Amino acid sequence: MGRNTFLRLVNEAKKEGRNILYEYEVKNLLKSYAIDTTNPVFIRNKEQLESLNNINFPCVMKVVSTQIVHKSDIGGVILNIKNKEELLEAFEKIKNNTEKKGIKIEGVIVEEEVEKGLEIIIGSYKDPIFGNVIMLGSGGIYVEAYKDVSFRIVPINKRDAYEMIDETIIGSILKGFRGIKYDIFSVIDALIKVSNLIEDNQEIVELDLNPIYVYSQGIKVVDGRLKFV
Amino acid sequence: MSYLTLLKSLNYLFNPKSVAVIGASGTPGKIGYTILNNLLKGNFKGRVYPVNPNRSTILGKTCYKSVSEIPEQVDLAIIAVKADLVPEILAECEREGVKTAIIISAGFKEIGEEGKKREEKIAEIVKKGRIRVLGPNCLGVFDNYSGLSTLFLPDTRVEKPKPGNISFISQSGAMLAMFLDWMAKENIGVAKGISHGNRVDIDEADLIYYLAFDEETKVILIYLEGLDEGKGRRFMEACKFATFHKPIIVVKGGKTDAGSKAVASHTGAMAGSYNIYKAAFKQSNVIEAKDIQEMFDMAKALVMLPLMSENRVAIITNAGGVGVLATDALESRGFKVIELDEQTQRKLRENLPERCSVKNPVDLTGDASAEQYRIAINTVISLNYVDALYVCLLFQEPALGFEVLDYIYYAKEFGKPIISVIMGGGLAERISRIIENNGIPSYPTPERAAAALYALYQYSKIKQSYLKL
Repeated sequence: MGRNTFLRLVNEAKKEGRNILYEYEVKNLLKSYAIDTTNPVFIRNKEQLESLNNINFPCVMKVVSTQIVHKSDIGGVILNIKNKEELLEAFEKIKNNTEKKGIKIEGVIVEEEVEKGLEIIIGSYKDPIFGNVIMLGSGGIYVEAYKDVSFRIVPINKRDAYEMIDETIIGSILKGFRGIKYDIFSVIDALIKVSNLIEDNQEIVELDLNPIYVYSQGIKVVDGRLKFV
Repeated sequence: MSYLTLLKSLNYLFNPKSVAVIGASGTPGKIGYTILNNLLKGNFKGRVYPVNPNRSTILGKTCYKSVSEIPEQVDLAIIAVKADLVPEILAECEREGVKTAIIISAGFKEIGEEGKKREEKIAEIVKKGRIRVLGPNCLGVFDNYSGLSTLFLPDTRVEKPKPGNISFISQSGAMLAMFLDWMAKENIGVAKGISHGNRVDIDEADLIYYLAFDEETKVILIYLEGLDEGKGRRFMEACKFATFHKPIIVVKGGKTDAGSKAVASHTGAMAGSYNIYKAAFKQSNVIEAKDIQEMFDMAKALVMLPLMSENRVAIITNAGGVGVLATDALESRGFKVIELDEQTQRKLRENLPERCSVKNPVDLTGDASAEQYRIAINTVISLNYVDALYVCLLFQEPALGFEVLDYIYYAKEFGKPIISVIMGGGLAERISRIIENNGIPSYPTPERAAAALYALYQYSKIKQSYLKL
C-alpha cells in the first residue's frame, strides 16, 4: 500500500515537472506507512478557501511552493487562526509575503493546530558509498547549529534505533531528563517505519521529517520534505 | 564469487609456490632489484623467477624474457615496470594462466586522465575473471609465515616485526611500512600486512573476508581513507562476517569534509561522510580508534587478553594519584570501578599494612612491596564481580621488587584480563617490554590503558551478541 501511494504521488509530481513532493503529499505518504501526522487540506485559490467547510479552529496555514525550502523564514506560515475571517486574512498575508519576494506559489495548506511537543528530526539521505542512510536528531530550525544527530545505514533494527537515541542529546531528554517522560517507543516505531519507507521506495534521495513533535504519548510529524529521482 | 573461490584465489597472493618478478633488475637501488633480493635472501620458501628481456641472469638466477618462458605455472606475478608497459604485461600474465598479480608500479588513476585510461585497461583484463590483481600503486604484501614480502624498502629503514597475530590493511604503502617498523620496535608480533593502493580489483572487503579465515590473524587492523562508490554495503557484510571470528579495529583518515554539498535538506547537510562511516562501523561491529597510536594500543590488548564478561574493573596501585587518574579514565569509558565487599576489605586489611587503602582502587602506597601486590592481586582477581584487573606499577619507588612481574603472570591463571600501567622513563619502558613478552599488555598512561581495555570490552560485547543469536 505504501509503495502504491508513493508511485501515485510521484507520477502526479512528475507530470508537473517536480522532483519534490509537497508537504501535504509527504503527509499522505506517511499515513500510508501508519506514521502519525496532521491532516492538511490543499487549497489552490481564494474561491476554494471560501467554500471550505468543517474547519476545526484554531488552525494553521502554510505556503505550498517548489521554490521555498524554509517556509517560516519568508512569512509562509501563519499559526493560531481562530475563525473564517482570520483564515481569509492569512491567505492574503501569505500571498503578499511571497509576491513581495517574487516567489511563485501553488497554493496553501490548512491543517489543525497541534499541541507543541519536543522537537526531533528524522531524515534520510542517499549516500554514494553506503546508499540509504537514516538520521535522528534535535529538530526544528537549528538542526545544523546543534549538530545533535545520529546516523545509521538503512535498514535498521530496534537495537539500532535504541542506539541512535542513546547517541544524541535529544535522546537523553526523551528518556526523561527532568521528570518529563516522552514516548520513546513511538520514536523507535517511527524510525523503523521510516527505514521501511526508504527501503521500499529507492527513488527517494532526501527526506526531512522536521519537526516531529514527541509527546508523553505518541508523536506527530508536523512538516516534511521529500526529493526523489 | 563464492567464499571458497575468494579464499583460494587470494591464497595465491599470500602463499604462492612460484613467483615471477617482472621488471627484475641487477642494479642495487632499483625497485626491481630490492624486491628480488628481498625474496631471495629472506625466508620465502617458494620458487622465484626474475623476468627481464635484457638480461640472462640476475643475482645468480636465470632471467626469463617473459612470463611465457617460465617453465612452470606461476602463482604470483610481481609487476614493477613502467606504468605504460603494465597493461600489456598483465594481459600476457592472464593469457599464461598466472593466478594473481601485484602491480607495484605507480602512474595510474592517481596521476590523472592518462593514468585513468591505463587503469581501465587493467580493469578490463581483470573482468575476464581469470586473474586477481592487487594494486596498482601499492607496496603489496608482507606475510610473516610464508615469508613473502614485496616491500621494496631497505632493512636499514624498515625493521621487520616478529611473527605474531596482528594483520594490517592499508591503502597507503607508507602506512604499512610504518606499521611494520612500529610493531618491530614494540616487539609485537605481526601476521600479515597489505597495501592495496588503487584497488582496481582486490579491495578491503576481499582482504577482510580472507583474513577472517586466516588462522594466524587474530586481530585485523585497517587504515581507511575512503571506500569507492557503491562499495559500502559489501564492506559492512565482510566486517560482520569477520567480527564473528575476530575483532576489527579501524582508523578513519579524512574525517573532515572538504567542500559543501548542494543539498537543501537538513539531513543532507548533516550527512558528512564521516558521520556515515561512523554509523557503518557501529552497524558492522567494527571498533573505531581515534588515531594510529590508539589502534595499536587496542590491538595489543585484543591479541593478548581473554575477553571480559562485564564491565567491572579492580585497580591496584602503589601511587594514589595514578589510581585517581585510572578511575577517571575507566569511568569515562563506561567502566565501573566497583567497590569491594566488606569481607574482602576485611581480608585485605588483615593481610596488608595499615597505610594501605583497601577500597577500589586498592592503594598499596609508595612503600608497597612485591609481596603486598601478590596478596592484593590474588584476593581481588578471584572475586566473581571483578571482570578485569588493572595494575598500576611505579618502579620509581625502591620498595617495589621486580618479582612483582612474576606475581602478575601467575594471576593470568584466573582467566581474566589483566592490563598494566607502567609510568615513567627508560626503566619503565624496559619493564613494559618484559611484561608484554609475558602476555600482559602495558601502557605508559592510565588513559591509554583504559582505551585499550575499552576495545576489549567492546569486542566482548560483540562476541556475546553473536552467541545470543
